[in-house]
Amino acid sequence: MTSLTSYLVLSVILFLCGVFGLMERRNLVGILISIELMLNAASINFMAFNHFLFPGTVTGQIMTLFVIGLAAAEATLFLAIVFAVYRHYRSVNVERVDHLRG
Amino acid sequence: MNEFLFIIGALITLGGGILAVIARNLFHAALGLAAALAGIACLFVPIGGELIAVVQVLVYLGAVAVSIVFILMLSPPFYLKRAHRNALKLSGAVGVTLIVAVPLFAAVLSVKSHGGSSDFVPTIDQLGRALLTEFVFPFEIISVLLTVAIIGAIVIARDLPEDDHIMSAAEVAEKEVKA
Repeated sequence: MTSLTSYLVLSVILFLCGVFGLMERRNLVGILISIELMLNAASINFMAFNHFLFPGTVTGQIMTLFVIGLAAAEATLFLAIVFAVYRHYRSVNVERVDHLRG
Repeated sequence: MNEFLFIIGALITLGGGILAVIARNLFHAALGLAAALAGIACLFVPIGGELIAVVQVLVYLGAVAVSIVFILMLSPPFYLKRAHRNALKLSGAVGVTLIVAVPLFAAVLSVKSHGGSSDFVPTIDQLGRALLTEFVFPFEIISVLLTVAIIGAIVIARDLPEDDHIMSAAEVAEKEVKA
């Protein structure tokens, strides 16, 4: 049951949840939640490949630590941007925040 | 024991992940994300990632998920305004998801599966050594990135009232000339 394929299938399903949310949500916070799901799918892949294909090394686990650190920095900035956008537009709907539309 | 952990973790992760993108109320979506993150920590344990599972719970569940809940609580309750489902947008999202799904599943199913044969669990000692020798450069970059992100978040989110405007030297000089 705990094989490489089962981990990879799980991570693909999680990634597809993220893709679906990214396309369908119109709220900035909803988009952030979808991005977090996709990042987590990537870290599952790193962990699974490290364990099943390269036992005895720690590279994949270190990469997962970096992904977690990047996600923390990204979430901080994203939430600050959400506050700034809300103050400016009184909305966090990405279809109303279209000042840069060409 | 490992299989039990995998099945429990997979169920929690999938349930939470689907709730996080399906829920109309964003607060429920944030709770779904928290469940998915906890399930992923559970999934890391059978593949020798005890330390990463702890870090996942501490950083993701303890900081990222909580800060998302915080912004929902601190902001005006826009999460209560349920967006009406737009059939065109929904079908577009399903289409894009399917287009992405086909090559991903093809790639995953072509990977040769190795049954979990190794019992190797890296110790904190090994991870710390790797982090401060082989990976010390990305480690330092992440440190700088986190510092910049904190400062940037404060600068972006702070609300300067108009009369607290800090005058530049040129503006001060202009004011003095007018006086």
